[in-house]
Amino acid sequence: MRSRMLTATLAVLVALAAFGSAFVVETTEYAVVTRFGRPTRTYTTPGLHFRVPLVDQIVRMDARLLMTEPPMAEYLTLDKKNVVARIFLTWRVGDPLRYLQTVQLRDAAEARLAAVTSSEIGAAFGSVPFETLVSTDADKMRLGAIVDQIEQRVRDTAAREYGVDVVSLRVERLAFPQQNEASVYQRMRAERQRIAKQFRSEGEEQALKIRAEADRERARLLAEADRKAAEIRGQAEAEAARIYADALGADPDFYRFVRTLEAYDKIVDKDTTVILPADSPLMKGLLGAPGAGATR
Amino acid sequence: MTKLLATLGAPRARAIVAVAGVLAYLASGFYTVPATSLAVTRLFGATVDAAVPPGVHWWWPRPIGQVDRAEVTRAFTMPVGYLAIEDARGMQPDPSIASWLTGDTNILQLRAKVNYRIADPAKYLFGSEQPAQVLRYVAGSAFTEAASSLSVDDLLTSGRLALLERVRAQTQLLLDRWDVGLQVLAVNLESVGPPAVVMAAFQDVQNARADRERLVSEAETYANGLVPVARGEAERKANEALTFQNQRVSRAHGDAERFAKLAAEHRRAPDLLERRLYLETAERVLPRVRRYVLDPGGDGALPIRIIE
Repeated sequence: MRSRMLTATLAVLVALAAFGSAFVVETTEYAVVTRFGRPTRTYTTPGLHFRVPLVDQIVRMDARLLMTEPPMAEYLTLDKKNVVARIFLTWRVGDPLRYLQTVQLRDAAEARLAAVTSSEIGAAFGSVPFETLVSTDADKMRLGAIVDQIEQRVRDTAAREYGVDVVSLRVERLAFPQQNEASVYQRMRAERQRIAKQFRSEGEEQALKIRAEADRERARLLAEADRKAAEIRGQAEAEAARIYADALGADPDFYRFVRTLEAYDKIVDKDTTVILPADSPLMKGLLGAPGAGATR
Repeated sequence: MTKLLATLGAPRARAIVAVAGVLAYLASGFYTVPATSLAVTRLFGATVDAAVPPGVHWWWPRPIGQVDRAEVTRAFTMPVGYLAIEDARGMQPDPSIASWLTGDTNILQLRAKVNYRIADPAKYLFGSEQPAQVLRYVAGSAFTEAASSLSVDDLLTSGRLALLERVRAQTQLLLDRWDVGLQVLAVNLESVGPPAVVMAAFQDVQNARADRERLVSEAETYANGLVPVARGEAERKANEALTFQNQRVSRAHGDAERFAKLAAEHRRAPDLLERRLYLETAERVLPRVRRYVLDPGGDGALPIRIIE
């Protein structure tokens, strides 16, 4: 009975030892085994591992892609313009041992990264004019290249100093400092007013042009019509004259006689006073003896 | 017999308990994967199957194994330019979240939604700490890069589609490069516009644009009314001239014919015709006349009035 108790106790102790010595490294983490505080082994791949209980300590750290957003900060460009930038970094632990020795905790790592980032951005932004960060001119705009350069410098420092692998550093937002906003809005408003004015004067100009063109076209059409009409009338007169000439030329004296009579008909009206000689052919017929009439 | 039972029974009971315990442990390894999801199985922390399909399966329970599920068929939405919480409460978004700087240093407020799905369950579950937040920041930075190279007018009008495509492509590129395990389905722009304080000035530009259209269309209406009328007027003038031509020539022909007939008659009996024409004219003309005077001798000494 006593031996049975002993074996049972032993079995429990062995089980506890096995349980205490086995540990799992998850796929989301790295583990460093330290013996009396000194790192002895590093595990960067997941799996089941063993240690000496009580003697070996396990330090775990996140192996995943982590994101850090340093506080938004104001920077000064080469041409003394203030710009606020929100940065974010994605990073992971690159060298667990170095990470453990230098920063140990995530908060510390993030604080160091923020400091390095801030100073690198300050240096990079301070050496370029504002229009390389924000510009519609593709030749001047170099934001991408500048950020890549900052990223590279932060990556080098972080890897060397803290065992941190900076995957990316990007500018999430650019803005003006709050105290500059009023003047920016003022400028935006003025710009819009200028554009609105331009649209309206363009409209007036185009409208005037269209109206003037229409007026000119109208005048041209009417002048052309007048010219054609005059031409047609002229032709008509010419043709009529030719017809008259042809017909009347055959007997010009008789025509003159007939035409003269017609002219009398038109010239004489009710206010006309006519003096007739008594011996005119008309009067002779009335006053003189019959048969005394003569032609003309 | 009781002794036998006591000696055999006690270990057997322990064995039964032990076996039952092991069986219960193993039975707890059955798990289901919903139709919307895929599961990832791990053994001692290491991924074994990264895409277990929907259905009932068995896997080692903890602490030996682990099962995680990811909803792969669902489309998730991540707001950019506002926070879902603020929006739901009807609050104005923080300018540092809502505002972007344009290439011509205007400030624009932009709201977008990124639709995404989980493309790779293992990467999504184990690759990054906050996959959705990474997506949000990446999209924000893509908007920043695009906006800071475009003019405010481009962003408000024609540049929108290109902007969205650029943001989508850039976001997807980085998510893939960093093994976040998400796929961007679409980037939708909900709204883009100037901040409230300068809204009126921007609206006036719209009004001015409308004014320009209106002025031009009014002028076109005027032109369209004027030119066809002038064309009609020209047509009328031409017709009048042609009518005149017809009449003039016809009259000439008529006159000529009449004269030819008269002349022919004249040739047959000139004196007779002339006298007749002369008298006819006198008949027609003299009655109209106010007064006429006879001059007997031609010296004009004794005018005689016949008719008043």
